[in-house]
Amino acid sequence: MKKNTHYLFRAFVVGFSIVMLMLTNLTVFQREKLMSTPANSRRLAGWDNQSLRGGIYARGGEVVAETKVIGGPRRYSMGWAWGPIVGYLDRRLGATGLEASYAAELSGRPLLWSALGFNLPLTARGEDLVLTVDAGLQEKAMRLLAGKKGAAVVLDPRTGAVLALASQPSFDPATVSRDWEEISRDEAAPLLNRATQGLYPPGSTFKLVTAAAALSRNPDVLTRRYFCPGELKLTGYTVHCLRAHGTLDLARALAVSCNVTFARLGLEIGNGALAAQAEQAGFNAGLPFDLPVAVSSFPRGRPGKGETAQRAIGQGEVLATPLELALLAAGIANGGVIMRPYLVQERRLGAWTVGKTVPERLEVAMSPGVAKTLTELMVEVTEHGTGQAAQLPGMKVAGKTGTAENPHGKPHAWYVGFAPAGAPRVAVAVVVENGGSGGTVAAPIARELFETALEVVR
Amino acid sequence: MRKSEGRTTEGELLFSAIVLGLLAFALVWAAVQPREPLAWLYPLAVSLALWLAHIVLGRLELCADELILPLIAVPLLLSIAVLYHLDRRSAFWQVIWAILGLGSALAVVAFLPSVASLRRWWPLFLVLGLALLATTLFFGVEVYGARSWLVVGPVRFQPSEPAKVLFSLALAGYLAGRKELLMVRGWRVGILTLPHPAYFGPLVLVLLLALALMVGQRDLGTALLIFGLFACELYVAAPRLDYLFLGLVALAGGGFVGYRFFDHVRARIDVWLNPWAQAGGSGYQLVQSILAVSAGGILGAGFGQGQAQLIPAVTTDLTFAAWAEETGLAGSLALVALYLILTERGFRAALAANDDFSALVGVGLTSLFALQSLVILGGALRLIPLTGLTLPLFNYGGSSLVSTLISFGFLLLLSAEGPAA
Ligand SMILES: [Zn+2]
Repeated sequence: MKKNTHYLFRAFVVGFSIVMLMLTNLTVFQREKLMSTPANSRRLAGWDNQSLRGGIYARGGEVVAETKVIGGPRRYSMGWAWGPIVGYLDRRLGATGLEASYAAELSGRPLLWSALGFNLPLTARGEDLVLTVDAGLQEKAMRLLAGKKGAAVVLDPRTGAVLALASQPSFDPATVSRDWEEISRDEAAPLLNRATQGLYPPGSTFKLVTAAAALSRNPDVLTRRYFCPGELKLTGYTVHCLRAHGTLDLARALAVSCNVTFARLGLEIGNGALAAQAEQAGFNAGLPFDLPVAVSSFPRGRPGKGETAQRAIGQGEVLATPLELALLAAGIANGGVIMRPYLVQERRLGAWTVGKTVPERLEVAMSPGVAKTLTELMVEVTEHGTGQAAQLPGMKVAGKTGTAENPHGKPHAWYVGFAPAGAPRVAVAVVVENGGSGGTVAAPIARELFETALEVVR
Repeated sequence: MRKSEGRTTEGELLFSAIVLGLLAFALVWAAVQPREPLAWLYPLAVSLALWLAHIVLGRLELCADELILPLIAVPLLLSIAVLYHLDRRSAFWQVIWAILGLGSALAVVAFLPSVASLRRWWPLFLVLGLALLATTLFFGVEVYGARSWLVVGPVRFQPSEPAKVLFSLALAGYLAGRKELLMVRGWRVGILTLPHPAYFGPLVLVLLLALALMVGQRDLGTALLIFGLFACELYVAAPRLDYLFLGLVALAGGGFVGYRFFDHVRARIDVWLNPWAQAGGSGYQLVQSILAVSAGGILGAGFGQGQAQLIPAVTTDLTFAAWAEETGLAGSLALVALYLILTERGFRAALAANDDFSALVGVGLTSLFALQSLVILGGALRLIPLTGLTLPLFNYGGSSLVSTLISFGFLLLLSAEGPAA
């Protein structure tokens, strides 16, 4: 009987030990994951009772979000234009956008501090965020898309700094609590950040990827001659052009966006090569960013000819976010190197700078030679092709339009590009959902964005 | 048997426990608005009661275990502090129940000649236990989906709490005399040998009856606990592996039947398997419990700084989650370790007992305490399905507190009976 009592006690020791291990697991190893789950939003929002929440400021120092007293209301002075970036902060609704992803810093708990389990703020006030986004450009981007469904991303290809990130329809962080009923019921999904979370078929803008893949594997595609009879019949799918383009070279094929030529190029190099090039440019992988980003996808596997041809012209199962395509343009602009995109330039505590974002490489999308060739082809698009609406006086612009077929009505209008082509300072991606032709709908918006953005970054 | 030092170890440890408890209360008191100076009476009253218990134990000149009282004092005083932050009314009642429980425990130690003297009363305990459970069937009130409460005026009372203590005494009484008989082999089924039905039958019958009552009242936690208690005492009294195996089969079978035929059982198990799918609905309590524990990190948010109000039934079921949030891994590991040490003291008392009945009472009461702690801790951490049990000594709950303190009274008495350590 004594022996069994000993055994029973040992069983309880095991039981209590399991409880202790689980406690360690929850508080140490799973903490970061659990603290960022959506179910935790209430707890997160309440973290601010003990310190003065830090402010959020635009590139030029303009106030985007501010809290005046500890536990006081959050003020968004230019709210309507900043919903896609700052998100909202509400005791009842939780937090999204930068308010959520920088919750620890804004409330005065640097990551290391809170990872150690110190939940009390280190300081009586949180850190201020200084963004890379220009207030004027952001407002302009939001205004250009007003009344439409769409998104625009403007960034500096040399650093990855995001100059504007617009998504419409949107919401005003200042009144989100009051408008919640209406916002949450709206079928146009104003809470969806289309710039980072919207997945669209990229259409002809994807021909840049196809061209990059072909040029990297076989440089003579540039000097070859192609013939477009207006359509290409394949098993299960027929590729159409608006008209028969006749005999043309690669530059002309990109300028007039010839589907037949790019479908043939895609079939020539195959689905694997297309997927590899797309992945080099950031497809099929999570993108490190200050906001949650949907994964742009290019399917792997061994599809039939019809499917491969469709994918080569950005249709079929290819999906991309506007941010991803802006990064593609930025990569071409930056000699093939994609810089990691970022929104927060600096974190400040009072007068001190406590963190500064250092630009870093994200991917090498292609060789400098291929990037240079693509730039020349994209200038042709602007000068003599579908992208003429994005022309700027006295400056060469490199661009590509897209008119993406989709099952929800009129095609999505796309434009991706950068300027000036010789020494690029600004890269953009614009999408207008069901907007129609990229050249007539998206390209003019891009031109406006180029004009303002080139004033911002010199 | 007499200890000349006058229980100095107990005194010193109890003094430290009281200092710790008052310090914790001071932190909570400072953090919660508005501040009530009179609230200091809560921890002071419990401290005084604990100190009086220490003096009385000294006067009785028993060589009872000197660690048990200080070990009880820590969770008791801390629970006053935590409850004061969560719900002041609960804190007040917890003080009343704590004093009542300590008094009852002392009465057990002072007036009972020995644990062994209870042996011949075991049928009475059994009947009383069953009767207590049955009362809720007729007069019960449903609270949190379990029809296991009696309401008398302002006092809510859970009969299953004293019933569990009575059952462990009754079981010890039954098993103590039939230890050898239970080892007699009955029918053989394959490689398994069933015990002889004449000896084993009544036990199973009573157990089934109790479980039926519990399932009828939808109090899953108590059903699980009574089953566990039965298994622990039987394992110690009649050490046969096939009994243990049969027990596990019965547990799995019971779980399966519960899942198939009882909606409330199924709901609990579904939530346990995937709480995140219903994080806003039926899984809310569990999800908030996990998040609270996790939010505490290593050192916690600090006393009075947690957001435990987000957890439903935090005062009665999940005070531990609030504690973990405010004191972090450091505080929660310390508390769990303390429960393990208390369990060890209980088994130590059982091992020192002079007769089978006393030893089985010790094993039963200690197992009950340890099992109940594990079931609620495991539930709060999603190791097992969450059931509506209280963490002994720590959660709000009068009947639970008084029953637990009385069972520690038995253990104290038991520890004094054995050969002087
Ligand atoms: Zn063509």
